[in-house]
Amino acid sequence: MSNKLILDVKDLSINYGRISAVKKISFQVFEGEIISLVGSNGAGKTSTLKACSGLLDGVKGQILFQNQDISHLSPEHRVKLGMAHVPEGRGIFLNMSVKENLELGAYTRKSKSEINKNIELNLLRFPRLKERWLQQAGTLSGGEQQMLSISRALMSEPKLLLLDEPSMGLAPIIVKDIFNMLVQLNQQGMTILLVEQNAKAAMKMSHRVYVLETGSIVLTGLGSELLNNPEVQKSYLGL
Amino acid sequence: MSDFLQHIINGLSLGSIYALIALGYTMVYGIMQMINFAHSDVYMVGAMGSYYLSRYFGFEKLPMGTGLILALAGSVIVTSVLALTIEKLAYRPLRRAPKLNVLITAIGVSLLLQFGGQIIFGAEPKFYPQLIGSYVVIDSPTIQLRLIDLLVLLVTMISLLILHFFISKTRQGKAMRAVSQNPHAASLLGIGVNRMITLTFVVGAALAGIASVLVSMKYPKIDPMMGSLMGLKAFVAAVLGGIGNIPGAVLGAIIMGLSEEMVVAYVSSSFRDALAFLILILILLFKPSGLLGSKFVEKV
Repeated sequence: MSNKLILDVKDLSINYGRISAVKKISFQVFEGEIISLVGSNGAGKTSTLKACSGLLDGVKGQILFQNQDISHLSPEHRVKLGMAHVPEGRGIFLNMSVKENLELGAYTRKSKSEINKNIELNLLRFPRLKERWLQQAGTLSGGEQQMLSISRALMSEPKLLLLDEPSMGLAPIIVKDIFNMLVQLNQQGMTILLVEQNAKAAMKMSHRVYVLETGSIVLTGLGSELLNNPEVQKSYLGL
Repeated sequence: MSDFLQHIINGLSLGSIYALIALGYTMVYGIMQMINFAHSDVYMVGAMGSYYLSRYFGFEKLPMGTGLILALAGSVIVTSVLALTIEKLAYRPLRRAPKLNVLITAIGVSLLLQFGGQIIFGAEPKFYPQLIGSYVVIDSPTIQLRLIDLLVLLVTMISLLILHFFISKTRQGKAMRAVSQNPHAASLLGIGVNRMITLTFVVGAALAGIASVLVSMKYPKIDPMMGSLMGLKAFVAAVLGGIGNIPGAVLGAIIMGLSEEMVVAYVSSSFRDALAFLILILILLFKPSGLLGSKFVEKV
């Protein structure tokens, strides 16, 4: 882990019409970290992530990516700078093959040989996708779709990977696989910003955690610290 | 029986034309969930544009084929530029507005083109120049294949092959499909959603431009209202095939063309236009998603 800031969010507020979903939150992600935003439904986690990748209107505050203000850039532009976002519900192109999904992940990149190299790498990471190579993504199981969604995001060679509830709707054993894979990815140098409802798993794997409640950060600390915090155990871990 | 074969040829020729127009409806619907009512009038402007180009440059005097190719190219350019302009000026500002607003705007653009067309081009029909003459390729007692029908089939086939190659093999084509399946996910991969929407309008309009020249050679009387009935039938064809589905639009169009021809031949020609609406009612009753409607449901 280095001391280099990769993502610096300052006083971020998000409004949907008159409803304010996120209220002036600030948080930082350093290179090489896994950071989690945890909290219950409606806490503003997904909105925060969407604001980081430029999907939302009505966003106030500043978002710096590698010291560059990206607050007003389009999502496409942010991808080109090195952010990749694995959306909630996976966002797989169901009527397209696994191959096409992965190729689209590399939309911003031009070099054919580099793209192919990256595809090879992803297929090593997820051998299951190789078996399904020409199958339509809609025929894949939920876990396979999640793997596809992650490897598709990796195809753009991001510096920061944003993940929105990768555990959603999956069997515990598959969730474990996916989280292990994320830790591995991090060990290879990928910085990860994770949004999770599964607070326990998220705290276990993260370096630092921000706890959101109705649009505000109520608690922050090292993952291991929060895991052993009695207050957190009571309110978020159901212990 | 010999008549039957002839009707098949005529029906396929008609169906091909519907297909070229139906694709514009279905592709735009696929990417924006919007029925572009102005599509049929863009088609009309294509016919008018190529009419004036042909008259001005004398395309009909050119040696065989060249005039037709130039008219096709001219029409495609006119319709593409028009669609690009309409999309930029009328639809793009409404990108985040409710779907109904866009739909009503489309009706407005359609009326503007129809009645603006009456002012600019005049309301009286014009006679489209004869670009290829009235050759007959096969002329036997049982069957007659006119050059124009052969060309309609050929040009449609080539256009469909190019379209197929474009959307299934090229980077832009794949990105276009991605946007139509999930615009948010597509933008998260760095795909410019607005650019893809514009591209879809242009591709659809170009196909309509091709159709407009083919129709004008088949039925050489053109006027600013020529789009409305043709557009309506092509739209029904798109719904029949499953709106948003590209192979579906072609299938629906061929079925429409064949059945229209058969109804005229074996029932009564006064049912020619009623048939389209009968088909529309039947699909809406029994299979609203169309013959090849969408397959996968999002897994949660």
